[in-house]
Amino acid sequence: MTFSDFFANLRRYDANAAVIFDREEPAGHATDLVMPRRHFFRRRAARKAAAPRSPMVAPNDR
Amino acid sequence: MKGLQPLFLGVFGIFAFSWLGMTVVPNLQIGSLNPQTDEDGSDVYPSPRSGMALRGAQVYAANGCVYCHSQQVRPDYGGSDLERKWGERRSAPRDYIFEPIVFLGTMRTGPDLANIGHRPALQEKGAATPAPAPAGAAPAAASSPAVAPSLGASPAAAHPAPAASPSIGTSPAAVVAAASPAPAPSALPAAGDQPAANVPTAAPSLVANASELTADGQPLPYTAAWHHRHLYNPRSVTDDSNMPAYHFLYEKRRISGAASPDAINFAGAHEGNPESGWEIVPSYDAKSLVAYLMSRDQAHQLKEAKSPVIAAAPGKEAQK
Amino acid sequence: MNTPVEINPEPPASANEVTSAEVDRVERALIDASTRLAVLVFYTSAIAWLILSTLLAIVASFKLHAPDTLAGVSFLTWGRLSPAQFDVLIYGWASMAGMGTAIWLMARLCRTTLRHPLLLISGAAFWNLGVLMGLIGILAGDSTGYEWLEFPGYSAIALFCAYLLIMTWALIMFRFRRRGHVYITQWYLLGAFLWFPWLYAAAQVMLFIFPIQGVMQAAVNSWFANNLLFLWFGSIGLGTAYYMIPKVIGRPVHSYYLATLGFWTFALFSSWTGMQRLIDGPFPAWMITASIAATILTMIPVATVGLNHHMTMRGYFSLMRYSPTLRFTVFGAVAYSAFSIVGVVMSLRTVARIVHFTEVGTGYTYLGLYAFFTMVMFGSMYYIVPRVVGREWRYASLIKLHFWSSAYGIGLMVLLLLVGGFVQGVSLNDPTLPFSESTESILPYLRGRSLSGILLTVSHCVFAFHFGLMLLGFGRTASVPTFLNPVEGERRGGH
Repeated sequence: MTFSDFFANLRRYDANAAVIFDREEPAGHATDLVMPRRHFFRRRAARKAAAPRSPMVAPNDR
Repeated sequence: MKGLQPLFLGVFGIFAFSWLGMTVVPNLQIGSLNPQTDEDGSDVYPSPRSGMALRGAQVYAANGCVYCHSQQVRPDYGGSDLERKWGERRSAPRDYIFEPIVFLGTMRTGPDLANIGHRPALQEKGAATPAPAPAGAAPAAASSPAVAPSLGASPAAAHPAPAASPSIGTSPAAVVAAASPAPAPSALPAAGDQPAANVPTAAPSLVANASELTADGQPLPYTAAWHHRHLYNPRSVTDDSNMPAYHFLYEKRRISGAASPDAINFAGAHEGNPESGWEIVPSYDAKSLVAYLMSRDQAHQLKEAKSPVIAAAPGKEAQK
Repeated sequence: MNTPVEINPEPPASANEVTSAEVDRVERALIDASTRLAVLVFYTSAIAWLILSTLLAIVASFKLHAPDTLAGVSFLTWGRLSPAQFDVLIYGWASMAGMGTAIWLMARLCRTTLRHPLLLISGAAFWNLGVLMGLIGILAGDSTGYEWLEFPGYSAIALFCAYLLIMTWALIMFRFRRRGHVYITQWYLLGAFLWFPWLYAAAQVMLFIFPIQGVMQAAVNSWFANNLLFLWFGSIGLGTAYYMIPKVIGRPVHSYYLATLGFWTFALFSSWTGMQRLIDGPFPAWMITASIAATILTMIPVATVGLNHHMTMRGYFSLMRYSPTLRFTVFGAVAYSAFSIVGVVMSLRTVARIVHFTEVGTGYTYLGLYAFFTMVMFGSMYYIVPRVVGREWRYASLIKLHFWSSAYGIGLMVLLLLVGGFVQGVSLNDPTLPFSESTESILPYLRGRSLSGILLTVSHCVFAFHFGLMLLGFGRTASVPTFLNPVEGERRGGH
């Protein structure tokens, strides 16, 4: 395997590493680290703010 | 799935490699060993386990003895097992071919048990191995040749009793004599018989023979009576032992008439003694367990694993 | 707060991208929702077994230095409690947590909703039944006597049948996955799912169904235990870490090529370990030497994993202050390296001579099983549970309590067992000392171990309570994940 093949492999492999990201959670977008807003006593306000972010989350928001 | 063939092949192949190499091939190598015999087919070692010892192995498994005790003697370059007199030579694969479950063990919270049925304390009193007596034999049956490890009384004592010194350098002849004749499963042992089996099939006697007691009447270490007392309450034998007390293998009952010959000998114990009028007797499981323990004996010489002193180059020649 | 510049919490602004991003979000939410029942069944079972195992373990730990505690009762004797506690830990907690996480990861990585949930639910039911029967069997006196395989035959059958259902599910999911590259995590998961049944069946056949003769039983036993630790738990743990760390911080794995190399060397070398736990035992020398060599060679995959995670996280370590998942997972990944190093050191003959047969072996096992695998599983649960339940963890303080009591608990336990075991081994190895010296020398360390066990008990109870809240719908409704160290201004009025 020549060097160029090797580097081509590396680049291809790096593309594979990005498989777990998509357009909504792209690379560069942390998924567990957004600035917190403590909603303990402001749940209603939070619920309104959080309202249909996704059709699947909404039914759980009671 | 085309691009994934390498993945599945790799996953399969790597594991097949491990399974074959680590289990199947070694099993071909040491998985069908035969016992060692002399040229004329006598002196078979080891011999199949039978009777109470087999049952005792199950009790050993059920109660997790293997999590504190090992049953393998390492060579002198591997540890100080031989110096601790835990065996005369290292253990070899052939020692275990007739074990229904091999309890090599990985922990020594308690001492190694590979040769507990052939320990120095017994040898010191001239008892090559505690030859078993049939359960319930009368205490005075010392005349029965196979009963009790009294000096010279055993039929196997056609060979001289082993020298008192329990050092590694005991002669092979004496060590061979350590193979105790096992009585037939029926009540009385066949005197003078040399059955190949070197394990007791009946319960080892709890009977206190003079040679089985220390000066103050306590059972000598590693005799059957000692085992029962130790199992019932380890701290009555060794103060700082952290071994569990196996009360549930024993039964406490009132003495009716004479004390049972099976009752545990609590002489000199600081604690755990039953009140007067009561005695502790072993259950069948306890007797089986002790029979199993008394069958732990790897003293017989093996060509492939000689005792270091006997071998020409001590320490270097110990092979597998 | 030092947020690295690249992290962009706001979704992209352009209309087109919002739409496609919405599509992704909905799709992902659908996939997550489809895994909800299966994942929660496995997680709930796993956590219940964890609590039970922890309680059994604490009693067992006390019995080692206070042997007359609850003495004389047959089903509480140490020799039954110890294997019961351990088998419930590995088959009840660890395996089910691993399978729960694997299910969620498979769904995400196959990018398809979960099909045939009934396979998984019935699998979980049978598995639970198997563990329960096994536990009762051991305490009742039916233990087989083989380490890590003490569950009696009737339990093993239930476990195996359960597993076949679960594996069938995994293969179906994989068969119907979305086109595209198969991510490294799925390699590890597929490996684990395919290796486990073979491993378990081989052990059951060679030890119980057609028992092999003599010392090879012990060899097969050790091979099984080591391979279970590496190829079942290790694989799931490593695969999970390769997803969680990049996903949480939002950066792809530093060198994917290295990761794939790591996978193959991991599989090849780890599968040959096992016999190094039987050094100088009655075996052909080549087997033991092969295992020692394989153990040393496992440092190659360990180095690749460590390097990869380190490089992926370089510049982002501060994010561990905020993400529970990251904290637990990185702890686990570091513990994996420590575990491998300890394993190599233990298998050197001069060291083995001292530490063989001592508590060092126990410490090593828990370093792998808890400090690595269990912590990675905790991390994955902190990520996954909100996404399947639709609510966030309620109390950051409980998460912190969980983390620190687990970290200190297992750190203390492993340290005590390794050091104490070494001291025990030195006494054992000195033939001039009576045997009781070694027992006495380890006792203070065992008492310390019981203390660390109390820490772990607290940790698990806290986590179980918190998880129970989530299960019952008492999580926080929020648009953002629960965070460990909220900004100062926000702390007023909250925890």
